[in-house]
Amino acid sequence: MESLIIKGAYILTLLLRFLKLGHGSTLPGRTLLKIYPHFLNKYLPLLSNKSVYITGTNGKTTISRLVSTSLEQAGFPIISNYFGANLPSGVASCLLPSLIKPKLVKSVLVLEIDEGAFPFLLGCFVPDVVCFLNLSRDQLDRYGEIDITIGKWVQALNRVPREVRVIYSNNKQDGVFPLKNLVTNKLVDFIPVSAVSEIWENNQIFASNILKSLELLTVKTQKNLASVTPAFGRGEIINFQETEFKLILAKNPASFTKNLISLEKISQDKASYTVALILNDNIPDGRDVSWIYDIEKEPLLKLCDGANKVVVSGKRCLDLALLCKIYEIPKEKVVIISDISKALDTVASYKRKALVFTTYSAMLFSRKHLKGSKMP
Amino acid sequence: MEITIGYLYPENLNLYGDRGNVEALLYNLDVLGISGKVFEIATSSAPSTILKSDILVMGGGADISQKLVVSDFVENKGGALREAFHKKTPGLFVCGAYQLLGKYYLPFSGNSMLGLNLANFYTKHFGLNKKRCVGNVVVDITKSPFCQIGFNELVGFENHGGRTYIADTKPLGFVKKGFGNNGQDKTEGVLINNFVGTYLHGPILPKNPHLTFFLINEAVKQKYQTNLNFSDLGDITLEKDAFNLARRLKR
Repeated sequence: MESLIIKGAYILTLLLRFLKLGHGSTLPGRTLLKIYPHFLNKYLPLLSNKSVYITGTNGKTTISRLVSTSLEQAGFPIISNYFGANLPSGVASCLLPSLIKPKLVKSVLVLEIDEGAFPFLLGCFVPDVVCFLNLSRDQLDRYGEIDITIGKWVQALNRVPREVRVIYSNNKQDGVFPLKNLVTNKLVDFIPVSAVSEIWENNQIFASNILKSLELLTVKTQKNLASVTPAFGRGEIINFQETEFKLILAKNPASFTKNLISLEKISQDKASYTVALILNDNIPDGRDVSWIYDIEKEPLLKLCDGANKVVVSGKRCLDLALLCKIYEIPKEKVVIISDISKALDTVASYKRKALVFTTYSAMLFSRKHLKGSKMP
Repeated sequence: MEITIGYLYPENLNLYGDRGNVEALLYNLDVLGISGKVFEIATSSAPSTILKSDILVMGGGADISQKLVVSDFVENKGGALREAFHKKTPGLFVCGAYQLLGKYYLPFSGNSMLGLNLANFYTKHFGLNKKRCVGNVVVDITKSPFCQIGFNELVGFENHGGRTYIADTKPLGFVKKGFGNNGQDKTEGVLINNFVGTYLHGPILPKNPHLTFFLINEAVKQKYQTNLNFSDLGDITLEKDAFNLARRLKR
């Protein structure tokens, strides 16, 4: 019966992919967990050779990808939720392909975990390593205040029945450092990591710390790490109508500002590029758009100042246009096009390098348009 | 003319883009030909900085950051704030800041925090089992002194665990959409003297130019005994469009 349910869920995955309705990265798992609530408790330990949960607001998709790719290239069997589906349903879905195989192969589980879902998943299965990157307020309308989230993490960690290594950023602004003092469980071993401001370098630092804690950091995996390219929407470059588009997922003030600063150099080259800001307020984006006023003003103005045009788009493009007005970005420079496809076509028509900052759902949509495929 | 904005605790209370309120005030002061200045007021600043401010602005924050400022706000600067309140200095107090104007804030765990007690209202947090008040808000302000043609509502986004009960205190308005003060009596915020207490983020001022104008005009009235015209804000088509879009958003 059990294996039948799993097969059924897997067939659903294949069907969704075949019909190009998506990656099948959530629906099959969601269905499965409804029918079989203890699925994760049973199969995560069965499939795990070594395992890590990566959680926090920014960087978890990229870091998971760095870790899993470097291990995969070194020949390790890997299970990972590549597409950023990081709720229990997404984790369940990513186990399916391995459960269909005739022989169960123990793998390295590299799982990115949603901040709110972390306590639940830790309750299902305790991995060897947990990595807490940072906590910023972009998810406040989903989970309430930061201290509430930290409190739930602490509770969950205090309950773990086996040893676990916890990597965390000890930089104050990342907001996860209080964990160390709050957790009383002696089974939890804390490993502080000093984060750096350059995003890609920072990701590499965390990835290599994860490999080290998993006892999988070798000359080979270390070398593989350096050769990985960014995950989709995380600084990915797409050529569209002879224009180079750089897609930057900017879902909260912290990641937005970090990205602005890391792009600072380009602004010296006046009018050599176009800036596009795309803001949606769907649930995955966060329904509250207030945060755009928490983006650091100076780097934003600097980047916009060097651009030939600033195109604002998405469901809440008027909020962006108003931000530009209040920041006194010249009116002639700001182009308002709420339709994302049309906005991207307009950006392409300027024939300059395009820097596209988007929220999550807008990123999936933009990527579809730029790649010309149905799948994000 | 010169108007000074006293921006309270930007280091601690800077959640949900409330800084945008200061930016909107500065921008509109500029449009009105008034020179605008910002005074950042920290817990270490002297209480006299409150009285040197022509407009006070204070945003919300998580419970933990609220705790850091509460004693300074109520004890050290309480006298100055009360004086500013009585001489009708305009002020904008959002979310956590709004709660501290009342009698007390009762968190779901721990001791209650005493507020400034400027009027008869209090806030209670019922814990995690009671739904947090989150979503888009539209507030009817038809009877309010800052209502303008085409702007008889306020728009914003609320996100609060605490619920405020205002008894006979004058509300800022009445919710058409959203929870407002407590999700029961339809009231939202308070308007006491010229202090505006509200749960609305968004931030509130950029998309509600009528409220921005009210704060500036009241400040100019106190300082220069003269009145400004709403039409002096110039071309506010974009504000109007953003306002109208926000009015139509789902709760």
